[in-house]
Amino acid sequence: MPRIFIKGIKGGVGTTTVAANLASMLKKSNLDVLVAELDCKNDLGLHFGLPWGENSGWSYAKNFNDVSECAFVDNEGIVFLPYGENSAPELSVSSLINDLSAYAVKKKAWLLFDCPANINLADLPLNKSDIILDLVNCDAICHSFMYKKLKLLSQVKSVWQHYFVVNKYNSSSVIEFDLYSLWQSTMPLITPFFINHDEVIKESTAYKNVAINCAPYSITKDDFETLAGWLVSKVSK
Amino acid sequence: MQNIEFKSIYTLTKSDIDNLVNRFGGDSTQYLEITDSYKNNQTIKKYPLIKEIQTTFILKNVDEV
Ligand SMILES: Nc1ncnc2c1ncn2[C@@H]1O[C@H](COP(=O)(O)OP(=O)(O)O)[C@@H](O)[C@H]1O
Ligand SMILES: [Mg+2]
Repeated sequence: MPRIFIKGIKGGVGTTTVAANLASMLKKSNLDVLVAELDCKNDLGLHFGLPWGENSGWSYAKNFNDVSECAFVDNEGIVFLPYGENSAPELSVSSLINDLSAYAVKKKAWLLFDCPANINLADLPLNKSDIILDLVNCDAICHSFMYKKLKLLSQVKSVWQHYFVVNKYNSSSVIEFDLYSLWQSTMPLITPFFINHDEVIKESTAYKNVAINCAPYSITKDDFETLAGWLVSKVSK
Repeated sequence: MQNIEFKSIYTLTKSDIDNLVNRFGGDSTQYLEITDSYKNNQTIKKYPLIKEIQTTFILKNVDEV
């Protein structure tokens, strides 16, 4: 039962979008998927067609029974768990992760987490088989954060798998091309592929759906196929 | 108020980085496969922030990328 933690190295790099599209791609490959939102921004559900006015979520739950009541199933069968709008959740993130993991083991489902950029990974119950996708955009601030993250990783006691994934890549930008080329040959832990910037992603969100459903012949679809395939190969090792 | 001056040095040596890749990189081996050092150096020199990070953070300097 793979656990994938998707987070941004800073805010707005596309974490929630990637979590939703990846979930959909895995589901299309006949894998069962549960996506849980750990970010209080509470916008994951919008990618899966959740009504805008729906504000329930696990942040209101007092125990795991309540949590399971908060989960939704989208048209494709993806189970997703919104954060909700309670600013002071009773359940801790760690206990939520543990409870959902036990559930996912039973269901043989992939567990995806949409994490806030400032989540402290060292506080979470992670192990060697957990995969962290630390999303970055091709800019100098992300370059700076990636090196700070490397420093941090060299100091943490626990272990997980940690990868930098470039999102919103625009190959016609000189600075992005320069940085991406540099990263591919010098940045430790960067994945050998990127997710392109694609308008289709923003349009699909406006249609309350994920891009790989709205635009099955898009670059985005190919990009998420690559990401999902790479994850499957990592997980099966 | 403080002057903008150099205060602390972060350093990651080549072996620190190898350790990192071993610990956090699963079985990945893609790191440092294709390297065009000349081009990398050009990029690093072109952008002051990138250059500063390179020289501050990593002991191996620009010419050894
Ligand atoms: N690959 C992409 N191409 C184009 N726009 C993207 C892409 N990824 C994300 N976006 C856009 O970037 C913005 C932030 O995305 P979001 O997933 O909410 O980021 P985060 O969860 O990191 O805050 C949204 O407008 C989203 O549509
Ligand atoms: Mg988000």
